[in-house]
Amino acid sequence: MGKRGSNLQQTIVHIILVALILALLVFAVLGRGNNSEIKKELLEKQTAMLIEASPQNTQLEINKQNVNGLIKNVEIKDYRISIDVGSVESEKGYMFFSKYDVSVKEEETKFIIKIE
Amino acid sequence: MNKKAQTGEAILMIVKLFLIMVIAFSIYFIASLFLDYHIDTLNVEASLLGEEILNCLSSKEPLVIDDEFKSRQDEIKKYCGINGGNNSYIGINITLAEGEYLLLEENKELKESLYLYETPYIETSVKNSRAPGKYTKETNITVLTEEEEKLVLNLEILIANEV
Repeated sequence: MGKRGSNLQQTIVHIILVALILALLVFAVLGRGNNSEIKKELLEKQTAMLIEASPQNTQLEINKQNVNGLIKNVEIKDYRISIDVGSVESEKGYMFFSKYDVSVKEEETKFIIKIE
Repeated sequence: MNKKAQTGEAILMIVKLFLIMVIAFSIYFIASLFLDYHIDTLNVEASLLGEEILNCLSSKEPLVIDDEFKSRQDEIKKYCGINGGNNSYIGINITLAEGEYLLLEENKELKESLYLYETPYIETSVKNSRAPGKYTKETNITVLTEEEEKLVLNLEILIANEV
């Protein structure tokens, strides 16, 4: 009885530890995949290319509550676009080119990029 | 159960857990390699800039190749009214006659540094962190020199990862 109880106890501890390790692994991998840094890079590059390909008098709207997370700020300065996603703040932004004046305006639920 | 057997089982369990952790870390490391990808848009950006330059040149047809046009070295983007994108090299090569070319280049130094990528024996550490985006196109353009004629224009765009 004593031996059986001890074996059962050991097996339970074993299972709990393995489950813990696997849970940590799953969270770590998911965390890496949902990295705000990647989402920021993705958004900046997508928006930069949209601006580059847009004709005059185009408006691009970026919802603050975005599929990539909460967008806190969009800034355009010296033909560089910086987008802050979640807790990640853009350091130097992403360079783009355009024949037109590009500006950004913040509204309650979205950012509007104007290409004039 | 005797003490020796108990110690043996405890050691075996530690070894098992250690193996599981090694496997977990390996999976995490391999997953990280795939997830830590670089989103490379440089080739698309190079083609966007290239098309913009070609549109600009074709809108000015017949292109007057005079001293003013030839003095446009390092001012191709300005000539086309394009702002920003300082991380790009633009090369326009117009074949005027056999063996005679007109070459306009913007950001020539950038091209020299970016071409390190095509030199395999140079150490990777010397090179920029990412390969540049590249766009080349050969097209015909109507040019006014002494008379109006169709000439071959070669356009080359290189975009560096960051400047």
